[in-house]
Amino acid sequence: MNVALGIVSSIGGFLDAGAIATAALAGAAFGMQMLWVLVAGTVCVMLLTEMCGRLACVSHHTIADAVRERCGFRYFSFLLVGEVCVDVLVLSAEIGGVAIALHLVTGIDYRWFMPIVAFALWLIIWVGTFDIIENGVSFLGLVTLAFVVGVWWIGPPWHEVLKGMIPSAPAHDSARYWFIAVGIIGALFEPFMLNFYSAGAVEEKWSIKDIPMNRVTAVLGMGFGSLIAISIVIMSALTLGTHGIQVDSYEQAALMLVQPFGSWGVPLFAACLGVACFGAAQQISLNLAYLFSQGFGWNWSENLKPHEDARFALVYTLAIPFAALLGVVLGDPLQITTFSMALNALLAPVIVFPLLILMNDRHYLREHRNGVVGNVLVSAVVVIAFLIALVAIPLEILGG
Amino acid sequence: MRQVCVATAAVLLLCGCAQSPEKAAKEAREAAGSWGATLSAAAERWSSGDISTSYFQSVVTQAGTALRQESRTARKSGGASAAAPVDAVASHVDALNDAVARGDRAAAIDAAHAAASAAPANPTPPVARPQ
Repeated sequence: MNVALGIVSSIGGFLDAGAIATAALAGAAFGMQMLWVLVAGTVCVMLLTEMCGRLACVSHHTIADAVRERCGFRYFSFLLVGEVCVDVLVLSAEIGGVAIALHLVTGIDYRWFMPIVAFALWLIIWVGTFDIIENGVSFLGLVTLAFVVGVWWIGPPWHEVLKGMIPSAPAHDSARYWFIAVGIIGALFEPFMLNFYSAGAVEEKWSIKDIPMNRVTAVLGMGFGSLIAISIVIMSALTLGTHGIQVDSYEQAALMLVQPFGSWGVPLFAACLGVACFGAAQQISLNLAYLFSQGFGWNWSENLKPHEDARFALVYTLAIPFAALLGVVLGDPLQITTFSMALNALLAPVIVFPLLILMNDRHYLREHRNGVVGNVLVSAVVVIAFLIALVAIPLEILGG
Repeated sequence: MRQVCVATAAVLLLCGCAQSPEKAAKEAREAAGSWGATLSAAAERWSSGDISTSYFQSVVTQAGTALRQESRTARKSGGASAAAPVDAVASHVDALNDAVARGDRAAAIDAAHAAASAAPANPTPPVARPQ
């Protein structure tokens, strides 16, 4: 039952506006050629998630408080500033994603929904417990299986799917290809997800006996989320790309489910987008509160009443309306999403390398330290994604 | 510190550079083709009852907004000729809006097909041929 719950929880954590947007963009623009990026990123995110859970099981530390303790406050404040900037931008994209989902089914301008979504988000975190946050929206996240059913319904050319899993460079639009590639990696390596996972493990009081369950959760959960992201790439490639439709807005992306589901297609896409974004928005809001509270040594737990950890509650109370306002000012949630995902790839080394140091520290992990394969694989992907992001982001801003 | 300043200046300089006219024209053609194909697909789906009127109206409105923005960008970097395909597709948006307002599905399909043929889309094969 624990494993099943873990898998269901991972659907909410893995899929969000970033994963849906980058997968849809990739499929429409490059067919199935970018599936290999998702596969490589998934293996790495499985390893990273397992590491975060193992750190919590053995040391009872979250990433944030362990980094502050091991690397010092000066490094932690650098990480805090970077992660807060990216998290607020991603939070604004997620709130925008929910608002767009409501716009798709009602036709009303999404900006009207931004304050309503922000208030609903704040209210659930204010009155809810960690279990409600973790499991409530995640169960609803099962609706995203619609993408997998859609692929099965359409029946893709499986040999082309397999070919797409072999790494290859593009024949055209290299700058765009690599920008989307770092966006996909950024969507998988979202810092909030890693810290939220470790904070969740501490909230649920995981111990060494939970290490096997953590491993199964990381592999099956992230694998399951990846299956859905791969399905979005395939659906987008077959229903949008082959008709020459590129994804410049969520209105275009929503068409991908119309072919298999008919009149249910757009409402289903809206439900998938809304639920995935709302789940992610809850996690990011809490992660911001966790970061500040763990970094500055404040009282923290989502299971406490707001008056028992007032500064923890204050952080998300300020962050949510600010992110909603930012979303209204910046406009176009899809653009915010793709850009913030690429920024995630730039920020990844700042979080992943201290994590790797911790994971090899006998003081924290004792005999449960990392193996060579995990260290090398994660380091390689993070460094490559960082370097590509460094080149691809200015090129994308330039327009290729 | 000096390296950081140089790198920052280089990035800002790159970001400040204007887009080449050829690139602007190519992007405008692609955007026009993509929105033309979107309008055509959406109009057919609306006609067959697969999508709601409010959603189809959203697609048409979004297409109008995106095409106007794309036209401005293309005109700035590549002149009127670069913006021509975008303007050709955009010229059918008003007809589509009228068709939606009247609930005239046949007129919507005609206008959407005309928009799609004004700037043919460039379909992506399921697996783009790698280098």
